[in-house]
Amino acid sequence: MEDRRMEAPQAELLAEVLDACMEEQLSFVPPEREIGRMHKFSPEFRQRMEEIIQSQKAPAGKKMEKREFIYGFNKKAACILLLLLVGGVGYMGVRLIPSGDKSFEESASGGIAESEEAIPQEAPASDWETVVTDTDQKSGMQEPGEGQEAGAGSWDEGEQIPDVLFMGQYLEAAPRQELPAESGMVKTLVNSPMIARDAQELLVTIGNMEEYPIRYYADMDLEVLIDGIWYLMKPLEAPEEEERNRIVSLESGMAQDETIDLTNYTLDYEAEAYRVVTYLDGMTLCAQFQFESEELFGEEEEP
Amino acid sequence: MLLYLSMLDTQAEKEKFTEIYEQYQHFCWYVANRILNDHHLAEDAVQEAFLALTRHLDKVGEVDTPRTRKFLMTIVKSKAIDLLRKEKGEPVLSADELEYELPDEQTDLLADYITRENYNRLISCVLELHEKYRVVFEYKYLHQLSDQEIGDLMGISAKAVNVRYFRARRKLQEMMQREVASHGR
Repeated sequence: MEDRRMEAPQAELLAEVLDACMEEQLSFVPPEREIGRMHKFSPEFRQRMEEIIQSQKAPAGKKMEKREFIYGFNKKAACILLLLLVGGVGYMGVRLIPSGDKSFEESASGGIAESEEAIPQEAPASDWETVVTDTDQKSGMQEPGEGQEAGAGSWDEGEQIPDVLFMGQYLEAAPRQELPAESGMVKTLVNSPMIARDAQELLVTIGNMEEYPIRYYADMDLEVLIDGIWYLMKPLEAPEEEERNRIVSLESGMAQDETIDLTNYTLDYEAEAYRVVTYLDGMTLCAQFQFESEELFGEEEEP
Repeated sequence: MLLYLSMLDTQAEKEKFTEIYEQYQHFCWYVANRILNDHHLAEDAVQEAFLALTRHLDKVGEVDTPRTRKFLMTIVKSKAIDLLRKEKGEPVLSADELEYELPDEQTDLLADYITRENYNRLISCVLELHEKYRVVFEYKYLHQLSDQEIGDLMGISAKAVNVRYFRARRKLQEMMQREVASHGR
C-alpha cells in the first residue's frame, strides 16, 4: 500500500528534494568555530555532556538481566515476608484468643494492617518495583471490565508523562489516556475481559453496525495500565511496514476478527489492566482486559 | 538517563560518540537555537539530541561527512520542535492529528505531484512545510529509517509517526495543488 502511493523513483526524487532543502538550510549555518565564539555552553550543559561521554556503565543488556533478577527475587522475598507475618500474627491470635484479652486482639489485627502496608516499603528498590506494588494493591480492588474509566490517573491529556520502566523496557505514555470502547455503532471487543496466562493470542473483534462501511488499521497497539496511567507496550519484534499500514475495510453489519500475538510482548500478568487500541476512520477505540490471577495465597492458606 | 549512558557499551562507540559531539556540538546548538530562539532551551535540545543519538550510533558511518551532519540536523530539529511543543503545553499529537484519518487512496494524490517537472515547486513547498512534518519526511526518505526508529528518536510511538507522516503527505499535497493551480502544471 505504501509502495502504491509512493513508488521507488518518487521516493528517490522526494529524498533528493529533501536533501536539496537541507543543503539550503545548511548554507545559512556559520562554521563551527564561529558559532563557538558566538555562544559558550553553560557549565551545567558541559557537565551533563561530560557525564554522558565519561560514563563507564555496564552494557544495557547485562543491566536489564540484573534488574529482572532483582525484581523477581524481591517479589518472592515480599511473598515470603507476607506469609511469615500472616503466620506469625495467626500464631499470636491462636495464643491470645483463649485468654480473652480483647486489647491484644485489637493490637494484633492492627498489626496486620500496619505490616501489610509496610511490605511494599520494605520491598526494595527500582522504580518499576514501586509501581508494581502500587498496581498490585489496586488490581485487587478493580473488577475486570470496569476499566473504561481507569487510566485517567492524575495526568491531564497532553501533559508530559515521564516514561516508566516496565519489565526491562522503558515505556512511553499513551498519546490518549481516555478512550471509548465504542463509537456510534462501531465496537471493539476482546474475546474475554479475563485472559488466561498461557494464552498465546488475543482475539479482537471489530464490529460495524453502522449503515456504511468503515476502515481500520489491522495493526493494533497494546497498552498497559501502570499506576493509573496507560503506557504503550513495545512489541519484541516490530511488524513490517507493509503489515503496519495494512488497512481493512469492513462492510456494514459485519464483524471482523483480528489477533494480537501475545508472545510478541513482555507481559506482566499481575499488571492492573491491558487494553487493545484500534485505529479506525476518524476514531480510536479500545478494549480492555486483564490476565487471570494466580491465586497463590488461596492455595497456601489451606491447612 | 542511565539507560542512555549504558547504551554506549564499547570503547569504540564511546570514541565515536565523543568525536561526533566535539565536531557538531556548536552546529547542533545553532540549529536548535534557530528554532527555539532561546540559548538555554537550545542547549537542552542539543543534549536530548545527543542522548537520542547514543541509541542510534550504528546509523552514523563516517563522522566528518555531510550525511552525518544532516542526520544530526534532523535529530536536533526534531528535539527542538518537541521542546517548543512542551513549552507551549501542546500534546504530542495535535487535536487534528488525534482525529485519526486513514489515508485514502482516492484522495492521496501526492505521488502524482512528485515528478521531475515539479522539482522546483517541490523544493519551495518542502521549504515552506512546517518543520514538524519535514523532519518526518527527512527521517523516512533521507535517512531511510523505519517508523519504529523514527518514533524512538522523536520520543513518540510508531503509530504517532505514522499519523504525522500521513498528515505531512496531505499538507505537502495541498501545497503542491495550490502551487500547480497558480502556475499551471
